[in-house]
Amino acid sequence: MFFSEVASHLRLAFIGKDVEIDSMNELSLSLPSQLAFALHKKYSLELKSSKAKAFLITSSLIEHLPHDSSYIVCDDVSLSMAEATKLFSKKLVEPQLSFAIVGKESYVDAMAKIENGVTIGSNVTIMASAYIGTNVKIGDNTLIYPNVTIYRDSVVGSNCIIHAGSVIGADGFGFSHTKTGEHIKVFQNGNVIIEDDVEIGANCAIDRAIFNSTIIRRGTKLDNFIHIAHNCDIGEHSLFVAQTGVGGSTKFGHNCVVSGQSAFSDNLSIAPFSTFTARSGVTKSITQSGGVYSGFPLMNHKEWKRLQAKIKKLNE
Amino acid sequence: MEKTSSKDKEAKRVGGKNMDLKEIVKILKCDFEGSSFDVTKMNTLRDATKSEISFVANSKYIKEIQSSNAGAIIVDKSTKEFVPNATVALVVENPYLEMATLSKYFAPPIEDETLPQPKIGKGSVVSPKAEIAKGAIIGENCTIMAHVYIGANTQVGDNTIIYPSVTIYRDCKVGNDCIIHANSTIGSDGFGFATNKMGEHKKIYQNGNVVIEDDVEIGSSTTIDRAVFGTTLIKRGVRIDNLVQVGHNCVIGEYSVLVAQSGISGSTTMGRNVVMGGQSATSGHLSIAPFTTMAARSGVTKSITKSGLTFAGFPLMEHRLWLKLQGKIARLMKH
Repeated sequence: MFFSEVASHLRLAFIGKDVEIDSMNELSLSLPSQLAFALHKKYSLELKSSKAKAFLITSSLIEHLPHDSSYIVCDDVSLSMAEATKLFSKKLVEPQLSFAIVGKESYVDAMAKIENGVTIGSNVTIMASAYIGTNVKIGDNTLIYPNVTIYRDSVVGSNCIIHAGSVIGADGFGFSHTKTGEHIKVFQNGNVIIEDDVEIGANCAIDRAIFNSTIIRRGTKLDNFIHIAHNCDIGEHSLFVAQTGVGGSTKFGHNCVVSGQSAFSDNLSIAPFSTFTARSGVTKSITQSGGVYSGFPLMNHKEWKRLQAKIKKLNE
Repeated sequence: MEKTSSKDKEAKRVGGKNMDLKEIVKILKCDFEGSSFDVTKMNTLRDATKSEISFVANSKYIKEIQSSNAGAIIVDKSTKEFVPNATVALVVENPYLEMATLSKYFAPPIEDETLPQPKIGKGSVVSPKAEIAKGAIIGENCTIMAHVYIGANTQVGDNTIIYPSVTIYRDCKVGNDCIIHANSTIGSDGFGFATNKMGEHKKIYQNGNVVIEDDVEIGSSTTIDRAVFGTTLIKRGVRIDNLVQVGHNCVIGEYSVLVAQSGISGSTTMGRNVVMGGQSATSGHLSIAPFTTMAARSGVTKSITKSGLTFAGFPLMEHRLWLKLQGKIARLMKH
């Protein structure tokens, strides 16, 4: 797609060369073929060093653009960005792609639906009413129980188990808001990557990334009802107990343990070997590894126990 | 349908069937004294019978070792001496980890082509888009809607309604007059892993089942995990709301009510007519007295022995104390 097509879709003028664009990305990760966007003054440094050739920006950031950039000045970059994501969203079904490739000794139930462009390894089991979307890749020996839905472009590793009713790659929860309070969809054009030896419980939801990938790393085990939002990165060999939720773009180091009904805000970074007891509510990043935490607001587990003892005394 | 990966070949050969003790010893790379026997399955120290093999997770189970009827027990050096004379001791370095290794060999195949065709009772309607695995038995006057999956050997009683996209794994039992709403999952694997020194988690195969007695209603998108050994039991007349999690080996007493988004951790046992409010939760291995009521968002971490009381809060307290405390907290903000 050419930059001029983006401009006409947004009903705005573009300045510079009419460069060709294949996708969108955030500033710091964007490639020369991608459309980037800068919402706010605080991104001026990232903007200067961005590799992208085309940008959606606010007028105050024009001076920080890299030399030879093409750009569109937007009143509301966030809203224009949302509108532009629609242009890069992919079709759900692509009949023109080649038929799925299914490896040796794999079993696909007659009631399962495998879209075109899919690659499935050997010794894989896909049970009734499972749905495997366009271009999904699945490794070897993986077991997918009934009624699992895997959206397009997701990648599932080898030796994984995904229990019934789980949804991998549904749209992340992303909207830009108009002045009149309406919510405009930010199309989620990234994917989900599940590495090897991961087990995902029943009725979990792992959302696809806006751009790039939501990643569940090797050896991690999720219980039932785990919600992993878009662009999260869950470290190796972590454990998540039932009914836990993780907000968007939060990153976990390896071997974290998260007990039941805990929740994490978005954009956090959690050090390796962190442990959270049941119902922890985490709103700040954890930088030191090996800690044990509890409560909401979150505190050291020992401190939480002391606090609870004091609260109990209030009643005496 | 059977898995046939080279890695699984060994497991597949014996999957879900009896195993000679000699084979088990080979897998665990240990020795044994006494005579070999046919091992039928794995079980807890308390429940294991002569033909079954058990294990010692840690030294606090010494009394249970001494009174166990298991045919063989996987122990380490320190617990070996407590094994009864009639029982074979299998000494390994890490019994819990070896138990996880062995559990795979007792896992039955997910579906089994050698089982008889499923039986559907008189007057039952099964959607052509539903799948009933071999060995399953559906009673009379049931309604089984589109995209439902009923696993191998699972039994469903009479007059039961199963809404679309419900998944019931193999070997489970659903009673008469039950209703299971859309997208619920019954009999998925309990969350059980043995962790090695490298921090990697080895799956403990969940070879038990789920039994749902008569007249139970289960909401949509609820999950009830299968037992590791034995049964996760939902007794007669229980009402379960949407998005409820019931962990492996739980027992939910008759006529209990679990409101939306509540979570019951593994091996917790409830008496009859317990009420769990919305988003309330319990720890594992608790015992909750009959007629206990938990208000919304309760967090239960200790067993409740006295029946008929109402609780609230996390940490949990009696509801009247919780109300008093909330009054005091409100007053804190006035100064």
